[in-house]
Amino acid sequence: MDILNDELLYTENLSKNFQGITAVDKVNFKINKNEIRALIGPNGAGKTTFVSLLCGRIRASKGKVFFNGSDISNLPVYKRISSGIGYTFQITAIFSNLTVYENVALSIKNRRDKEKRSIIFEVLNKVGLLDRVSQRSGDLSYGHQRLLELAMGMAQRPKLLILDEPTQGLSDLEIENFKKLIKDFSKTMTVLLIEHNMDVVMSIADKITVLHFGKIISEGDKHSIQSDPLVQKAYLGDQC
Amino acid sequence: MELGPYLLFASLEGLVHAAVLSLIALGLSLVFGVMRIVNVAHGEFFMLGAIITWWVSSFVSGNPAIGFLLALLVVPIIVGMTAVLSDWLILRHLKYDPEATIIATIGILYIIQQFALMTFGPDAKPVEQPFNIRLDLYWFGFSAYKFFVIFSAIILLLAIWLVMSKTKFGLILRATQLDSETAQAFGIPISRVYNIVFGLGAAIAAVGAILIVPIQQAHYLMGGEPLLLAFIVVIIGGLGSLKGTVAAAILIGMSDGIISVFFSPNIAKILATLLVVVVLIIKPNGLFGTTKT
Amino acid sequence: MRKDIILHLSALLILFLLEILGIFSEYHQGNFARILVLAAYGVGYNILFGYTGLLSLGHALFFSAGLYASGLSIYHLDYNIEQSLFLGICISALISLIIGFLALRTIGVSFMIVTLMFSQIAYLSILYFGSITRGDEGFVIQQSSRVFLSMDLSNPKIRYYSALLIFSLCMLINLWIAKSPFGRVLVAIRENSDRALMLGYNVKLYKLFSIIISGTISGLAGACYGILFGYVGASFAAVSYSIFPLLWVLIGGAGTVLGPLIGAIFMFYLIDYASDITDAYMIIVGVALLFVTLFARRGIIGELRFRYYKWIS
Repeated sequence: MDILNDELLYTENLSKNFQGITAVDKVNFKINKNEIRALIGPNGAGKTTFVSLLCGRIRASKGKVFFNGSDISNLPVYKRISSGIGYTFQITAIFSNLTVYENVALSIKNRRDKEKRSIIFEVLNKVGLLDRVSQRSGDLSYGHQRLLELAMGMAQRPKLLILDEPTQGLSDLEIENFKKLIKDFSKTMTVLLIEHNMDVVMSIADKITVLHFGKIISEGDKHSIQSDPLVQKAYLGDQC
Repeated sequence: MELGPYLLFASLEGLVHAAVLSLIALGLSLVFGVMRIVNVAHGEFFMLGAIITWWVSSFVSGNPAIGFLLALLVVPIIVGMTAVLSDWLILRHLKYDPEATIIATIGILYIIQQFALMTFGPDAKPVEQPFNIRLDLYWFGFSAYKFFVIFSAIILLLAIWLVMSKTKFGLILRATQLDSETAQAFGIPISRVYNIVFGLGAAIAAVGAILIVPIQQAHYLMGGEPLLLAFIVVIIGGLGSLKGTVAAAILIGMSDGIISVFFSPNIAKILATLLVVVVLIIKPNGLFGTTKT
Repeated sequence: MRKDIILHLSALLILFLLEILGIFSEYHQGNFARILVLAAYGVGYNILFGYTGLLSLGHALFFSAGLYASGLSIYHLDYNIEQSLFLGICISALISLIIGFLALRTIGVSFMIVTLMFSQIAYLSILYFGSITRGDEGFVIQQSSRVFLSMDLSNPKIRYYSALLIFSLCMLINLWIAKSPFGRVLVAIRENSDRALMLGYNVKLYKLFSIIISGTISGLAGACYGILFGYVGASFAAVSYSIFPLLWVLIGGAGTVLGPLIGAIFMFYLIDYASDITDAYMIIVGVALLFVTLFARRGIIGELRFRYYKWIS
C-alpha cells in the first residue's frame, strides 16, 4: 500500500447489469491526482457506462466509488458534481439558445459576480472563444461548440474532469489545439479521457486503462499497453 | 333486490363498460406503442363514431338491426379516414415531436367536438337497440344486447391479437414499435405505417362507440370521460401490451361500473385516478415505458 | 438591458393610460380587466412551460385552487378579502408542492398526461362535493363581501386598476426571474436538462420550485378572478381552462414576459367575436392550436425577438 495517499478516485468491484448483460464487471480502478488517464477499449467495452457510474448518471448494481477520500456511491449526480467531478458529453450538449457567456456562466456556481466574470473570460481566452462571447452558442461551428464544452468543464474547476470522446469529429488542426489544452488542464486538475484516437492517447496520457467486455484487461504506460498481447487481441478480435 | 343479485347486476354492467373501454384503450395504446405519440383526440374519434352511428341509422327505417349493421360497415371507415386525414394533414408535418403532437391533437379534439356540435346540435341522440330481447336471469332481467356487446368485444380483441401476432402486417407493426429507424432501414414504409395505425386506432374506438351507443346515447361531449379512463387503463396496464391493456380495462371498467352503481360515477373516476397516483409512486417509470421527450 | 426594462414598464404604463385617459368604452374596460387577470394566470403558466420547458395540461387545478379556496372562504366562512386572498395563495402553493412532487416522478409525455389527470380529479371532486361547491352552477360572491380597504371592488374603475396591479405584480416577478441566475438555470433545464444535471444542478428541485412558483401565481390569479368578478364555478376547473393558458403563451410567445398578455388579448377578442356567430366558438381554439403548432412555433413576441430584437426578455 502507498503510504502517500495521492489517489483522487477509486472504485471497488464496481458493476452494472443491464437486463442480464454485464456492462461493467467488478472493476477496481484508481486514478491519482494531476494525472491524465486515458480509458480505451473496443466499441461496446463499457467505457461510457463506466464513467457514467463514476458521476452517477447511472446507478451501480454493485460496488463502490470513492472520491477524494469519501464514499460517494450513494450520492445523487448533482452532489457528486458539486464535490468536484466534471463531465462533458460525447455528443455536443450546450444550451444552444443561450450565448457563449451564459453557457459558461451556468457552469460556475456559488461565486460572486465579479469573480465569476473573471473566470469566464479566463477560460474563454484559454480555449480561444473570447471574441465570440456574446454569440448565440447554437450558431457556433461544430469545432467551436466542442471548445465551448471544454470551457464549461474547465470553468467548473473540478478536481476530476471526465471527457467523453472530446476529439470526435474534429480536424487535425483542432485536435492539436485540443491536446495542448488538455495538457494545460492537467496542471490544475485530473483528467480522465475516453478516446478513440490513438494518436491523442499516446501523446498525452500518462497512463492508459484498457476496458474490454466491462473488465480492465490491461493498465500501464503507452509502451506496456502497445506491447500487451491481450490488448492486441481485444482490438483485432473487434475487427474480425 | 338483495345484495348478491345486486352485485351480480352491477358486475354485468361493469363488464359491458369494460368491454367497450378495452377497445378504446387498445386503440390509444396501439397508436402510442407504434407511433410514440399521445392522441388526446382519441375520445373525440369515439364520439364521432357514436354520432355517425346515430346519423347512419336515422336513414334506415324498419328493423333497427339493418341500421346497426350498416353502421358497423361504414362508421369505422369514416372515422378511420378522418384520423388518417388528420395524420396526413397535420401530425406528419410535426415530425411526431411529442410536445407539438400533443398540442395539435388537443386542437383536433376541439375541432371534431365543435364540428359535431355545429352539425348535429347539442342534444343527446338515442339509437335503438338492434334487437330487443330481455333475458330473465331469475333475480332480474338483463338485455341480451349487452351480452352481445361483451361477446363482440371479445371477438374483436381476439382478432386484433391474431393480426398482431400471426400476420405480416402485425410483424411490421411490432418491428416499427421496437425500433422505427431499423424498420425503415429494412424497407418498411414508416410514414404509411403511421398513417394506417393512426386510422386503425381511431377505427377501433369507433367500433366501441357503435357497440355502446344503443345503450348510452350519442352526445358531442361524450368523448372526455372515456379518454380519461383509457389513459388510466393504459398507464396501469403498461403500454404495447395487449394483455395488460385488456386486464387493466376489465379492472377499471368493472370497478367503474360497480362503484357507479353503488355510489356515484364521479367517485368511481376519482378513485381510478387515485389508483394511477399509487402506480406512479410505486413504479414511476412504468408509465408509458421509459420514453423521454 | 435597460431597453428591455423600459419596454416592459411602458407596456404597463400604456395599460394605465388607457384607463386614466378614459379611452376604454365600458365594454372594453370590462374585457380588459378580465384579460389582465387571465394574463396573470398565463404568466404563471409561462414560468413552467416557457422557461422550464415542462408542458402541463392541468393548470386549471392551480387556478381553481385559488379561486375556490378564496371563494369558498368568503361564501361559507365570511372571510374578508385579505384573509381569503391569503388563504387562496397558501392553498395553491401547497397544492403545487404536492402535485409537483408526484408529477415530477414522471417525465416527458407522462408528465403531461399525469397533470391532466390530477386536474380532472379536482374537477370531478368539485362536482362531487356539490353541496359545498354548488357544483356546475357555481356561486356568486356578494357585492357586499367584495370590499377591500373600503373600496368597492365591483366598481369597474377600481376593478380595472386592481386587475392591472395584479398583472403588473406577476409580470414584474416574471421579468425578475427571467433576468436572475435562477431563471437562467430554468432555461438551461428547458434547453438540455441532462446537461444541466451534469453541471451539478439539482434539476428536480429546480423543477419543483418552478411548479410551485407557477402554480402559486396561477392560484393568485384564480383567487383574484373570483373576488373581482364575483363568480366561482366548476367550468374554471375544466380541461379548457388548462388549455387556454397554453394557447395564450403559444400565441404570444413561450418564454417571453409579454407573450401571455398578447396571447390573452388576441384569444379573448377572437373568442368574443366568434361566440356572436356560433355556439361552437371553441372551434376557434382548435384551429388556433393547430395554427401555432404548424406555422408559428415561436409566437408573436418570440418571433420578434428571434428576428429583430434579441434583447427582449
